[in-house]
Amino acid sequence: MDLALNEEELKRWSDHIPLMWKYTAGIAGERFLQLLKQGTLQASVCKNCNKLFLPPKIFCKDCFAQLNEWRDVSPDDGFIYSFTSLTSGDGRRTVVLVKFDGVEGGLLGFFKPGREEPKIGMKVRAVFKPKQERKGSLSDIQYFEKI
Amino acid sequence: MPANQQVAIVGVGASKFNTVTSGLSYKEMMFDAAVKAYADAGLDPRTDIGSFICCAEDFWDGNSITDEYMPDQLGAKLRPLFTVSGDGLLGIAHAYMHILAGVADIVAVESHSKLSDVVSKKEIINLGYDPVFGRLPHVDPRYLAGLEMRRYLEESGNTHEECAEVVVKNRGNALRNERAVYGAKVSTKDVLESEEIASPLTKLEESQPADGSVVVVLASRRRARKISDRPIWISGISWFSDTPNAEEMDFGQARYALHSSIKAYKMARVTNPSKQIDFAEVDDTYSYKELQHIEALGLAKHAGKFVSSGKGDPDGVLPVNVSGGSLGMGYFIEATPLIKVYEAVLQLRGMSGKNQLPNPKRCVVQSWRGIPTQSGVTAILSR
Ligand SMILES: [Zn+2]
Repeated sequence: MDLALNEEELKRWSDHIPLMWKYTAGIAGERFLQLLKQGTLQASVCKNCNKLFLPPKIFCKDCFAQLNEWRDVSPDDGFIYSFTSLTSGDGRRTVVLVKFDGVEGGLLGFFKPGREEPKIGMKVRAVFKPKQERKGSLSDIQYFEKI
Repeated sequence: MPANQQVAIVGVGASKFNTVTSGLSYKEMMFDAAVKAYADAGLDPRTDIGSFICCAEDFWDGNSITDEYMPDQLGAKLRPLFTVSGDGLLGIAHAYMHILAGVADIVAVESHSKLSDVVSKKEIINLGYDPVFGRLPHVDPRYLAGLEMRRYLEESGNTHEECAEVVVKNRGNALRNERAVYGAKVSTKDVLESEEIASPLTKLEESQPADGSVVVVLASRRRARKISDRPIWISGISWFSDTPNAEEMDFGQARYALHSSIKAYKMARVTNPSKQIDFAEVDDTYSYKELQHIEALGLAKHAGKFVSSGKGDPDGVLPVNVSGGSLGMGYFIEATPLIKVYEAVLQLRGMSGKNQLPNPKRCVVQSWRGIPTQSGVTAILSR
C-alpha cells in the first residue's frame, strides 16, 4: 500500500462537476443565428438613439427601449477594432474583434491564416463556410480576410 | 477639508498569503483571518457584530451553494449573514449601506481565494463568457485581455514597454512587503520576452494565483470612535457595471473605474485626485490594466509616462501599488481588492513594515472584476 499517496488523498479530496446546459439564444439571438446560416448579418435598430446593435438585442442599453426593427449589415464592410494571437491545441491563431461603420458592437472571430498581418483599422470581410457546413453559430464565419 | 466620517474600518485580519496553502481548508483560512480581525477590533463576533457579509463565487469554491457554508467559521451562526456574488470591495460597499441604513452598527466583511484548489481555472473563466457569442472554441479565454490591451495601447499612446515597467515596479515593491509572495527583480526585457499569453500580453504581465482570506470589520461613526483609536474612514465608495458584451466594450478606457471614481471622489470631497490622494492601490490583474485604471481614476493623464518616470514608485509623487499589487502579491479572485484594502489600512495606520510610506492620510482602492467584465468599485480611505 502506497502510504504517501493516501496521505495526499486525505489532504486534498478530488471531485469534478459534470454539468450541461442548453442555452436559449432568444428572439434576437435565434434570428441572428438563422440569418448567419444564410450568410447574412442583421443588426437591431434603436430609433431613439439612432444606433444599430450587433449581435442584435431586443433592448437598447442606452435608452431602454424595446427594439423590433432590423437592418442588414454587409459582411464586406468590416474593420479590425483589435486583434490578438494565441497558441492553443490547434496551433497559433489570431482572434479579431471586427466592427462595422455605424454599428455598435461587432463580431468575434478569426483572422485568415497566412502571410497577411492584421492591423487595427484594416478593412475586412467575413468569409462564410460553404452552405452545407453552416450550423447557425458564430463559427459559420470561417474567418475575416483583408479586402 | 474634513473627510466624510460616517463609517470606519476598525479591524482587519488576514490569513497568510501564499501560492499554495497546504493542509488548510478555505474555511480554516477564513477562521484564521476572522480571529485576527476581531482581535484587532477588540470585538466578540457572537455578541458585538450585527451583520456579516461574504464575497464569494460558487465556481471558485467548487460548491453550488457556497454562501451557505460561510457562517460558522466567521462566528456568524444564527446571525444576519449574506453573500455577495462580487468582489470584496463590493462587500465593503454593502457594509457601508448596512451601517448608514441602521441595519447594524458593526459589520464584518470577508472574502477569500483558495485558487490552489481550483484545477479548472481556465474553464471557469471561459464559463464567464456569453455562451452564444463569447465562448470561442479551443481558444484561451484570456483572448479578451489581448484584444483589450492592444486597443488600449493604440488609443492611449502608452507603449508595451511602459506596461512592462508596471511589472518591474510592482514585483520590485513586493520585495519590500513581507506579506507578498511574488516579489522579484525583473527587467522590462524579461517581461517583454516572457511567454506570450495573448499577444501583446505576456506571462509576466499577468498576476499569478494566490491563496488568502481577509476579514474587515467596519463600524458606525459613533461606535468607531469608542472601538478604535485609529479608525480608517470609508470617505467615498461607488460601483459601476458597463456592458457585459465583449463586442460592445470600450477597450480604450475603463469606464466603470471612471464613473465609480467620480462618484467616490465627490463623496470624499476630493476635487483634485492627483494632488489629494497620497497613494493608490488599483487593479493590476494585468500590466496594462494598472495604466488604464491610473488614467480612469484621474491620477495621471498619461499613465505610461507616469509609471516609467518613477512617479508611481514608493518614493514618487503618488505611489501606486506600493504593496506590490496583484502582480507582486498574487491574484486572489474576489478577495483581490480586500487584500488591497488590508494593505491600505496598514499603510494608513503606519503599520505596513518595511514598505511603510511616510505619513499617508488618504488613498484610493479600486477593483475590476476581471475578464470578461467591465465592472468595478472605487473606494476612498482616509484617516
Ligand atoms: Zn436607444
